[in-house]
Amino acid sequence: MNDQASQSGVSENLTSGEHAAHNESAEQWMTQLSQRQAYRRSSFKTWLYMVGLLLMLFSATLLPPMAVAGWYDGGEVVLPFAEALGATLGLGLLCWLPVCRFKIDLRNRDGFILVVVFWVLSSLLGALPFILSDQPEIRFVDAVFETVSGLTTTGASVLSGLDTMPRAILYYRAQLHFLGGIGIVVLAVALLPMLGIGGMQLYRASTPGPMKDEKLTPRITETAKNLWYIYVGLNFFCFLAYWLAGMSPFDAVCYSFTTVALGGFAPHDASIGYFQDPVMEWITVGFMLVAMVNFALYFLAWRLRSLSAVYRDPEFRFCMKVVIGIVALACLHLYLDGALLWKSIHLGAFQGISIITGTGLTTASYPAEEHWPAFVPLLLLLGSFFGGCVGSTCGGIKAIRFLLLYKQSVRESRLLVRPTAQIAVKLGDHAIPDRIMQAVWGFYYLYILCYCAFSLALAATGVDLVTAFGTTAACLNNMGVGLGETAGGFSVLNDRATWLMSLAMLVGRLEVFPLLLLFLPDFWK
Amino acid sequence: MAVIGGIVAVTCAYLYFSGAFPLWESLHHGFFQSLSIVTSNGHTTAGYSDWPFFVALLLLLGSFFGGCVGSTCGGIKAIRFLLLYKQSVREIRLLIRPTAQIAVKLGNRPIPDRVMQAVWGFYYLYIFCYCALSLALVGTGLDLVTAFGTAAAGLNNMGVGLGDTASNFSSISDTATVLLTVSMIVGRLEVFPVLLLFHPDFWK
Repeated sequence: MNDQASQSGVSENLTSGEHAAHNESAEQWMTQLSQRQAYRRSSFKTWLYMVGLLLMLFSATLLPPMAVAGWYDGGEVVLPFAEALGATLGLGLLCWLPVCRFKIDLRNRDGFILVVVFWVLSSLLGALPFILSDQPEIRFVDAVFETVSGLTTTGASVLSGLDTMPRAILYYRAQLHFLGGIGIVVLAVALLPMLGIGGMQLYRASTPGPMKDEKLTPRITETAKNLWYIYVGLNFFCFLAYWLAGMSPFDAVCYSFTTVALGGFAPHDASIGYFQDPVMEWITVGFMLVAMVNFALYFLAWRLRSLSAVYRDPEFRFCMKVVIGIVALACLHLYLDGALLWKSIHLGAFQGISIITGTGLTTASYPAEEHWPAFVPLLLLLGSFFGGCVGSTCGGIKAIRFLLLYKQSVRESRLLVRPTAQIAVKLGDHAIPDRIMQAVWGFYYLYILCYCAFSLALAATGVDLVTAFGTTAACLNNMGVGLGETAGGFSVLNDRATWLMSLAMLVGRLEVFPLLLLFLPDFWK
Repeated sequence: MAVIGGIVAVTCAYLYFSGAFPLWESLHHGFFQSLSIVTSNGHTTAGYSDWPFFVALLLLLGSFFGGCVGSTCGGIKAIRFLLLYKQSVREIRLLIRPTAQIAVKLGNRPIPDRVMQAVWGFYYLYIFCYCALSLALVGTGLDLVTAFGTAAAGLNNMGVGLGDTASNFSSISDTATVLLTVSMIVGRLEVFPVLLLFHPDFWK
């Protein structure tokens, strides 16, 4: 909600800001130095303006949990949320008021900074209700971890004893997924292609809406609005399905938020395994599959009034093939390991899709050794690097990148046979420019590097190897189910490890580059 | 050399601070063991597998690095990592100034795009082989640590496993032994030649 509304709110200011900028462009005779100073000052105001606005909207999202607290839990649970709302709103006003008459002008560079700043700030402020509440008793580190995990739709939790926790807290966790989910979709469909991260330029042409390279906002506004409708619609249908399958309305809301956002926070300790109900699990499978598809495709399909846009998309086809392949392998292994046919298909499909898409809902006490042979968790762990389509709420490296890497490798081996042949990497009917391929490679390399570095750093905090590999994959891929010691929950990690993993979740969600950029001196020149 | 120096230094420091060995001992063991593993030599001293996890993992990852092309070391090789690193830095620069013309340079010579593509292809396939091999090893019944360690030992031609295979490889099953034999050859021949044989175009 916050993203969509804020973007549209700013857009009016922006269009007038654009005109102003054009008129002033006649006065480009200023010396370089003063120009740079002017830019710096105005971009700082831009950040303040945007951050302030976003924070105020973020504070408004604390109202629904307050209502839930009032309805189910009584006054003492409302208070922490009210305090957090006050603090966030106050901070937002503090940023926004001094510059509220300022005409802002967003550029590429501001996009990077805003994405990082807002994601970090909302993680810190979103942790307030957890800290202020009496129950759960939770420290600052853990509260931040929980919030980051919610907003990045990871679903890794340090909390236990969920079944006795105030409903408002449970709802708030699910709502973090909901907000994070729409934030991510807008980020992936509207913002990252503009900024050109990891080959996402590819999507510049294919997403509907007016196009302008340097100005970000009008397109974001348009796209965000449409994505918002699709996202809310999906949530609503998911809620209906769960409700009809027999969940209480409260559970149905929580589970639909967590399913469509591919998150993983559940209002029960046993996750969806709590219900022991195959129908609900198959509903989850269905909606996870729907939610792992590029949301822009749904928008296109809706406009064309036919689903062929979805079927014909090469990324979608590739994604489905790989996912079905991995799931089939998992089912087969479970079957050969001695499970009944129907049960192995059911468990393989549910758990496979849940982990690959980075949802992290679990059933049958996954990944405990006694029920699951070691092969399956490892297969799914590697699968979680795959993720799903770009422009959905899933984590990992994303299908399109793997598709391009795979095509490139095939091309390489062809070229070895016939060194002089001219072979282009094609997607559908379009040849992919070298520039995009390079960006994809760069992303892949840095992602693997980050994975190794985070695993190493985690091992240095004293956990064993399996835990280090599993936990890092769970966080970097925004998947949320660890291995080894963290299989049951992430509260076993020490403080350093918890901070580290919070960072890993952000790095994975923001697709590595924006965070790295901020540490590059060139960026600040 | 910069990378190897870094890895060796971190190993020594960690061994020292984790209290496994006194200062001189940790320098000695750190130097010996990390050079041995990183260059895929595989000589061991002082019960390497009992060392802290961090060191084992660091060296395991180090073994992917290998050494220079044209020497007898295993792994992905230093030149490729250098190029990958330079390419990534270039990517980040391009994000800031999308229209800039920046070439990847080695010494004074810019690297042709063709070469870069080949390096990327190799990197992707190598990582892919490693994942597939680890997965297959787990499929034969090894535990996770052993599978990761053994696959690295085989593919990088390094020869020191982790977990069950830390001392030697006799404890694994026949299927796993065959898999590892293949993987050593795949790693040594740098992946592509072996894959090519399975490509229908090659035999036309």
